[in-house]
Amino acid sequence: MDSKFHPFVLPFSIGFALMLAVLTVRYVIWLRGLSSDNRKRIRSNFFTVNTWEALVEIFRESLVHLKIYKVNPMLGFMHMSLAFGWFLLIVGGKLETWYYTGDFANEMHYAIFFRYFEPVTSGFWMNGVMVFFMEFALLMVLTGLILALAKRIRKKLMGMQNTTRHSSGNRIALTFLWFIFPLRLFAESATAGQHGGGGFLTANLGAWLFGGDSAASWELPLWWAYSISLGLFFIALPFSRYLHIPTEMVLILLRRWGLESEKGFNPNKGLQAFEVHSCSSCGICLDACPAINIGQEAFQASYFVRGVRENSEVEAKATSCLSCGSCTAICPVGVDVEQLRLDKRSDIFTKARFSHSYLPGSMTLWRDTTEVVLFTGCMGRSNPKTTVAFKALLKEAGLSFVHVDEKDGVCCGRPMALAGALDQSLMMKEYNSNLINGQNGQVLVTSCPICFKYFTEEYNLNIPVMHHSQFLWELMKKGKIKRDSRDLKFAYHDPCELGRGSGCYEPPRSVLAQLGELLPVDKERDKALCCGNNLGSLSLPESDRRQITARTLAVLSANEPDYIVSSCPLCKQTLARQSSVEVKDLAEILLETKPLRVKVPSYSYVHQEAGR
Amino acid sequence: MTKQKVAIIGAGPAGLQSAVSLAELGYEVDLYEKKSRPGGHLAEWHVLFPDMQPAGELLDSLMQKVLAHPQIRLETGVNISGLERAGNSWQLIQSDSVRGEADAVVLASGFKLFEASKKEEYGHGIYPAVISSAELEAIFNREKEWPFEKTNKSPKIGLVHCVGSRDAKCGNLYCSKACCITAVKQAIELKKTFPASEVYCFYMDMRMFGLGYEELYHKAQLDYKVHFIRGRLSEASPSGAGRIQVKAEDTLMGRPLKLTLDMLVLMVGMTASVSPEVKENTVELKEYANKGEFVKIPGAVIGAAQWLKPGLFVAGACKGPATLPEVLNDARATALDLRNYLSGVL
Amino acid sequence: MTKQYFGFSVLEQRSVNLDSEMPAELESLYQKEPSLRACIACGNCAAVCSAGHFAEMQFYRLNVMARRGLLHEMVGKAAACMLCGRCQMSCPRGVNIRHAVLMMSQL
Repeated sequence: MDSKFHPFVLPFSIGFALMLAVLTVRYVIWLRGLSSDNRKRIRSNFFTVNTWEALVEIFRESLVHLKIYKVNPMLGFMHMSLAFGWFLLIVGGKLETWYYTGDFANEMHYAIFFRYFEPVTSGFWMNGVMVFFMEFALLMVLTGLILALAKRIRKKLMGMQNTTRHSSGNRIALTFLWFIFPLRLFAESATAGQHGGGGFLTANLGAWLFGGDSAASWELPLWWAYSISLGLFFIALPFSRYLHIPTEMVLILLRRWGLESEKGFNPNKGLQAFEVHSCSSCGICLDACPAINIGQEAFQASYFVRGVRENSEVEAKATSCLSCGSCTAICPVGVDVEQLRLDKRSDIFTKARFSHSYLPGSMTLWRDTTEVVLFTGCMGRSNPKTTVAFKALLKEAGLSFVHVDEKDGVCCGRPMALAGALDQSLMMKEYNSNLINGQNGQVLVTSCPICFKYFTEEYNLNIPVMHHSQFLWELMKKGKIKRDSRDLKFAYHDPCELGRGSGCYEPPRSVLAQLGELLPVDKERDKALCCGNNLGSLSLPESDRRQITARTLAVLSANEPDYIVSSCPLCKQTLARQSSVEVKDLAEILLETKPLRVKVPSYSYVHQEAGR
Repeated sequence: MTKQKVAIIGAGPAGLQSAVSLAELGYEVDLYEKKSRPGGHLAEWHVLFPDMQPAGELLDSLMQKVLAHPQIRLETGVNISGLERAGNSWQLIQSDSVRGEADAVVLASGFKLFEASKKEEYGHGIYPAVISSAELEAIFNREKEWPFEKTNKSPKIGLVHCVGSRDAKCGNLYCSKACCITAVKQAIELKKTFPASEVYCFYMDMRMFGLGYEELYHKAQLDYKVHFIRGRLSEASPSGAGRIQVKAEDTLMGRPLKLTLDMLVLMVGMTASVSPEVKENTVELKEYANKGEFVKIPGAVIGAAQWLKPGLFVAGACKGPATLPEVLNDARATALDLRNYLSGVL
Repeated sequence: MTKQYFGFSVLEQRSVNLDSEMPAELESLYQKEPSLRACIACGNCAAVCSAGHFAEMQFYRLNVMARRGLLHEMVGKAAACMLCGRCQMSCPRGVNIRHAVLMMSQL
């Protein structure tokens, strides 16, 4: 019999072959679903530096897990130990067989079960390095495994409040995975105990446990068990969440080649399939979710994506979520859950038909030039204080303005898009565009982050668009609005659509820092919690929303601010209703901190104004 | 044997009536009031529904009885922040020191009015022409000026029901009970003051459950020509010269409605004022801060004693929105329960 | 068809007949958005409606139509909605109006 073969390697070989076959079939199906544009992108980017960059990223993210490390060092270390350790074992195994046989092309099982076939190896100093290297890599994986076990038992040890509750199929795959490395350790130790050889781990363990003659009968069963658990894990891999291991690598390549998500909800083909199957259910998104453990439906990204992967009913998950974007912001794999959810929503409401043909055409009359075109949006109508304050500030800065949606405001269309009906917001877009473009203004300022995001991303306006926090900071920088710092403490609430949605974190903070002390908030900027009423959510019950609001308020009020400040009418209204600390818009605060010597009327001026 | 002592927290209608009833039953009564004057909200009202009796008359008659009774000791400006069980009696804590001791305690801390400016869309605190129903009482009492020109003898006035009540968005699902009838009462008073005015009530449902309420509603329609519109306001916006334009849905017509007013009155509801945190041997009396709840008495419906703990009774509107007759009767009933407790029957 | 005794006669187009069977879709509508049942037709939604400036968009009426089984009438009128969400932000009964309208418009 060939010394490089023993029947116990068969479970591994068969499992591995099956996995390769299934993976190939699945990937081919998904790749065939790529749009023709995406295929072109692959062709044109294949032999470019992008591919190299992708390989670097694969090393950084799929093996060393740098992004997870940044979010949670302990968790990063766990993933790194498992993935990178295993990678080192594979690479080392290959080098080992190459070094000892002088032949690079060895059979796979020969490398995997090398120590069974060659218990004692010799060589110059290189032998010691090889043995040590392999044992070190094994130790690394086992460390990761111990941490993973610890995480199962007490997630708080790993700095996590919530971990994904896995489905039974995934638990089975997980069990096989956990058996692999201890079995490898014991099998190699048994061989070392019986035949000598081995390194600092296996030689010692072998001498201790498997030294005697009676232990001889243990050796082969352990190698069998190791092989079987490997084989079963490989068979389970393409059908479990461990599919993410190879898929994430492919996804990184595809992304670096510039591929874009295909239109519509198709989680079983094209780029979307790779995206959906790249999620490892690591659960980092759970702690980031402002709605975690609230309400009946666990709709967090991890569960939503799993539901999609398993073709189960995810309608309630898709319609409950707030779309605040915190999961997407923190996802170490960069799965675009936001888009996936929107695609699912359009899939759910595919038959919803809206028609806004009743909107009147707007005539562009000749108008005097005006400096500011002000758009306060639908939600702005419920926040007259913000609007009045902002107008008073414009007066203080000596700017002329037109409040363009004061009377016949029409929704910007973003809420329609958030419901997955982007294409049905066209008429609103056209109406608003005509209205704004016809004003002969220099800049469009909106006090609503929802409108702001949509105006900047989906509209083609003839003037620049600014959020009022940005505009107010500009006015302060130019010295058109002057304030002295006061003995006031603020906690700033980042609106989802302004912060994560539009990347605007600094201007409102800069304004507040001029007026008093800006307190740190436990979760802020891209980790900020949603107020609870993001328009992304459709079916989340009122009582759940109130719980989210209460949770967010607790975080905001923790350092006892004098005011909670937001710059979104929706957030402000939501928070103010439940807060015991006064909640104000940035514009209100700026107006109310006006020194008395500045002779500009405050809120009351609106009456004279309207009387003209 | 020395007389048994009862302490009452809050000298509003419930506290005053409890004090009188308990003193008449023979107890020593210590009556503590947080504010500098007794009377609670009753001291702020003008006339009372449905009989248009001046609020001052009722308060005076209660106060006379309180002041005349030798067993009642009234202390104002005392904020009782907690209670501690000491043997069979309760110690009253005022900022960490013991203020007094009693064999039984009546919590009669009443209610707070909903802050009208929380419904920002209605413009309270932004536009002077928008006032709360409590501010209108102050105007009737000549403690405040009308928000429109003195020369205007035919103002148009709108009254909005259910501000801060029956509103999930404010977290208050309950009906404040008294606002509908207050609106009817105030509408009549407005018509009496300005016979040439037009008064519009915007309601969700007219809840005229009390004795004589429906009759007053009828009278408001027939004799005072008050307009009742079933619909909610969307917002108030400035309309020049200090006037207010309101937009509403006229749900009976099924059409939007626009109206320009000289004054808009928001019928503010009742919210909890003190939320007791009950522990083993202590009760902390926490100030309501936008998330408190009315005091819940388990088993109140089946006529169980109105107490939170043995010897700690609760009377009046701190248990939930109530009208004056209800509060006064509740105070009398509490006094009876308390007597049964102290005499060992309960 | 047998003639039923009502004790009075009413033009069929004018009447709401709750004796007739309710459309099956209605149950799924209420199941997916149970908060719809809490509506008391106060009219707040219509008062604040952005689309209501221009069109006949009154959510509370849509809901009444649904409750009376007049689905056809309801679906047509739901199309005017812009989903801006102002109604939902001010609904005193906590109805998830945007979700409800989305489902109504695709019945």
